[in-house]
Amino acid sequence: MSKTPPIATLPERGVYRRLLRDGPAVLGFALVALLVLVAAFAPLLAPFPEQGAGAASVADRNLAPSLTHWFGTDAMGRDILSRIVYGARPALLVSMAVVGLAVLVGVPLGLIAGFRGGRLDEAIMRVADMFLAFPPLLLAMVVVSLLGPSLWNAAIALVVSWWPWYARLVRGLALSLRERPFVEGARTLGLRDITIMRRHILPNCSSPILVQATTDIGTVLLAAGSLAFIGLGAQPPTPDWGLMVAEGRTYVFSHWWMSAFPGAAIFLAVLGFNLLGDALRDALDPREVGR
Amino acid sequence: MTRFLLRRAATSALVLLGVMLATFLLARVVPASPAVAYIGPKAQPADIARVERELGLDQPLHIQFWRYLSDMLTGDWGDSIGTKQPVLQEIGTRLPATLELLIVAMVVAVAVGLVLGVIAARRKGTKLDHLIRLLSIGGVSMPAFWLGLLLQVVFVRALGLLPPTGRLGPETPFVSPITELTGLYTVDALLTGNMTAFGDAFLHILLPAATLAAYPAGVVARMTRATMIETLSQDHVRTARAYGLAERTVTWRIALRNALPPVTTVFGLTLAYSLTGTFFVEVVFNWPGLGQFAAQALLNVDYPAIMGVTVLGAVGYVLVNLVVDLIQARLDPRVGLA
Amino acid sequence: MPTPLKRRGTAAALLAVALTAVTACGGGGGGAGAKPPPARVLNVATSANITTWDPVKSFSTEIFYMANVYEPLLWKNPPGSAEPFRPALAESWEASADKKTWTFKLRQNVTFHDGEKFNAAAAKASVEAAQERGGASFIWAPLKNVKAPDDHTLVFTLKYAAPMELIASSMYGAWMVSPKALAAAKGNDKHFESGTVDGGTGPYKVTEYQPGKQVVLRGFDGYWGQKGAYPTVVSHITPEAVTQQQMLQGGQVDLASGLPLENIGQLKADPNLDVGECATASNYVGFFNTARKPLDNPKVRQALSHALPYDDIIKIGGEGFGSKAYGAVPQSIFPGGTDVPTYTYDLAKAKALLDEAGVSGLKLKMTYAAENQAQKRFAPLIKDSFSKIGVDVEISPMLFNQQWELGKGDPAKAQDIFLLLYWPTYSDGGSDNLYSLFHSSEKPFFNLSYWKNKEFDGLLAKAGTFTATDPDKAKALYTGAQKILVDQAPGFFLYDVRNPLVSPKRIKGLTCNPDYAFNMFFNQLAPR
Repeated sequence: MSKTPPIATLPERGVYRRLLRDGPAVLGFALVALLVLVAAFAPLLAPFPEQGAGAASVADRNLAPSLTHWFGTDAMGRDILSRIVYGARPALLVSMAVVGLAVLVGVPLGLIAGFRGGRLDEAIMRVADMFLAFPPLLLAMVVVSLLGPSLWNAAIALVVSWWPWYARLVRGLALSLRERPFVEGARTLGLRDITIMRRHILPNCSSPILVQATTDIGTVLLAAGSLAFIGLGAQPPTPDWGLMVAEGRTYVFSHWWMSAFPGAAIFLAVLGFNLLGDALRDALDPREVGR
Repeated sequence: MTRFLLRRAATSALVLLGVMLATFLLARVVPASPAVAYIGPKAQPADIARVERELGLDQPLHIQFWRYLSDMLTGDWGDSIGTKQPVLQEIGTRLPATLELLIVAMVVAVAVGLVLGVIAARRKGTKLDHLIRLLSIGGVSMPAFWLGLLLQVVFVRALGLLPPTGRLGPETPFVSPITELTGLYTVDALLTGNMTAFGDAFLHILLPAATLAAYPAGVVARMTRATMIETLSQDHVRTARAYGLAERTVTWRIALRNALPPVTTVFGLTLAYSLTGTFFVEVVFNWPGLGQFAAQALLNVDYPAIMGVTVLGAVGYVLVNLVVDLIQARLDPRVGLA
Repeated sequence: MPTPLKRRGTAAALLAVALTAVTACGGGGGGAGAKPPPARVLNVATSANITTWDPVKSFSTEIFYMANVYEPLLWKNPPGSAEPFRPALAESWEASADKKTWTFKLRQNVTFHDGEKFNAAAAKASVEAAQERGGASFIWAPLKNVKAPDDHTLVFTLKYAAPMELIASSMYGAWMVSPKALAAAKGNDKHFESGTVDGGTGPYKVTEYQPGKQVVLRGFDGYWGQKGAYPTVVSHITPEAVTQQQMLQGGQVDLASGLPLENIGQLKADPNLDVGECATASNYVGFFNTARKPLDNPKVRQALSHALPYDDIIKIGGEGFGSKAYGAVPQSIFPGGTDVPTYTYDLAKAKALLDEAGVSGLKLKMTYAAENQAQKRFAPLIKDSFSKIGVDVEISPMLFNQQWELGKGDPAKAQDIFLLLYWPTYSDGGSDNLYSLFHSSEKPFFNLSYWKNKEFDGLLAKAGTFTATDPDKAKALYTGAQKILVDQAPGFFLYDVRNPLVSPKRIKGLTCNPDYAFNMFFNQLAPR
């Protein structure tokens, strides 16, 4: 059996070069890289590692930004920079876990729906539609409310409301791919459906999934932060950025730094993933080549 | 057209039925019995049994669901556990505040987004284009609750230009009370010529509306830019140019019209996104609308209120999508109604 | 023993106490706030929601309004007053020597808002309704019967000696309600629920109620006593403490009942505000699950009691608004006192005691009420401090109802540590706090340490019989009981809550009373 040419390829050398020439793309890549590094080396990077992990320092409460505490301290006297550095961990972990699980659930379902069609397709997509009929985040909020607020329950709730997007995306791709000659060819060769899906359909869907997933990591990060902000996400003493904004909110007019810096961390992280996702889309979409 | 409408209406109804089933099941899966939520944890087993009978919780699930459906359809959405008032009534009194906020924010978002998107498309590749792209992607990446707080710090605390929270100053209801016609304070004040109240309501809505508009403005700008770049290079636009039409006319009349359908679709999606955006904005700005009510209900596990808000949100979402499809069909004759 | 509703009330009131937070935007109120509101309308920001408008059932946050619309027979004066009580709807009262018969002479010429006359029959009906279906019906437990020998005399006969003045001035369950309204409520559960049909005698009537939004009170023309200087009081229901602060400093409201504690410092700097401090009858306690190993060992509980950073907890949990706790009874109420021993914060000692008990690698699950902002702030301090003696704490916020549900269930499956904000229904910390929180009980209700101690129970029983007849003796017995309590440490005692009292300089008459810490009495206020 001959390997059939995919319609859109995974990144190759030309793609990287295009990415590098694009200013916003570089910025996006830099922000994401920074986030990953910070999360990985939090204990080394944080000026006050114990405080980052939650130790209080009551004598240093509510200090304004200074040379010792670049971003000031919070109501428990913890160094906000250290808290933000440690906060990169749950932020990245949760958003990647949520997107990863949503892909794991959504992609196979979408593949089956699109490739098989018929009743199965109808059934899967109607269920997906039902989930998609909730305004974004509302379903997640309801689920957290009923499960009880915590970081992991928020993650579960986000997976529940995110997988249908992948199912829908992949179904559309699979639908158009299954009529392609190379798939027909594979069929006539007597390959089993599962093999065709794995070898021929899935690889051709990988670029759009990658683009979507990159952007979604940012979106989920924002969503998890939003949930934490209204009390439906991470709980103290988790160093969660959304929670930190909420905790600092009562002090915002006098101690602006308590909310401002953690919020900026969310913003920059989300921005990074959005820029990167955009750049990937531009780079991988043949129509956009040469802009 | 009629067939299209009927088909869309039928699928929408099915989806809504699914949503109601989902909310119903979610509320039943929860460990604590809803009966306990009604009487409180002091409940004796006998009381629980009585309330379960009253609420029909001793019936099989499908009968319960049928009762829930018919109650919802006949306007009995249950009483909020938190406020003890009928949920539908609670929603009714808060809906206008949210609608006003949403409408103002959306008008701002579309206006800003379209203009920025068109400018960026015309100046493709320039510094201005890059700046607008960065701005629009920034708007999309912005945590609304954080933006709201920043705006408060700047415009309320530092500059002292705007009132901090709420829909009206405290004296307005006494000095120049608003005659409620629509429940949208700015509109009502204008209609009744009550300029004092209008000014007050206007100042109060600025910051929350700006906060809520950031995300949809970014999305609309991005989409407009992309589709405008495409249409500006299309044949009929080139033809129009060849006929010597002013570039301005070409851009704003001919190209923009062609770019609108995809923008409308995206707009529909963001409008729906902004429905939940109101939760955060209303909490930050103490805006007495549905979002604030919903946030409280969610935190306090107020089942009837949560179910009511969810169903309403889904109805709104489905309707918005339906309307968007219709508008799109109107705007672009090429889009078949099939 | 407060019911869950009441707890929720507390949680809300706590928002007031605990959230107290934000802005020094003294000058920055801008547009709306600059002008003072039109005279004679008092605008108030409060987090108090209404769970019921039924004065008999009421046992929660709505007392904020009830106390201005309804009146009891007596009011309790703040500690340190010359007279412990002052007349409300009763003009005078006396007790028999055995404190089992109490005679109240009622005020004449008092009319209910609905036009009914207040008399002994009405008072009797109110007490009986409260006893029968009241949210706080248990306060009337000592009552055998109540009689109305003439139009203005009410005689209570008790099953055992009890401090009737305290009961008659209870924060909940002691309102006098119009007999017409009581009869209507009997036939229709929801009679009161619109809010605007009230059956009180108080200085204000409810004239408008928008759920979750506002309550408008208007002065009652036929009020027998001192009418308020503000004929209209608009309460803006504002759950967020920060928003309350913004409204207060922006001039949108004259008073705020639930200001964010963390920002009281800024309020002190505001030249338009006077900031004082009040004792309350509330305190923060915690329960160890004594039914479970190794917390069944008093040594371990003592060790943990030594590992609680008491001062930091007041600083951070209460933002400094709190005072050292001496046992389970707050200082502001009977039988509180500083003779009760306390634990020092001493990690070395804690570690030594743990070693002595042979405990290491201890993991504990601690629950607290998610609605309670102070607990949310200090719970991480406990986790942090315990980690220094090798005890790992998992903190779990739950809605109070859920937390309580878990606590009342099987102790083997329940939490290890339960944090609670508690206050007595009426001003008796012996029959309420000590009994409710630590007396043995077969089925746990508020005794969430599941502790059983015969000696402690015996002392409480003995002290209870002296409360009405010989308060000093009762107090000594209670103090003895508290010594056992502190030594055995089935629970721990974090701090007594204090409230900030913030009033604009242009208003006078705002006062403190620990027994009605959640209330504001609007008719006592006046422009300066």
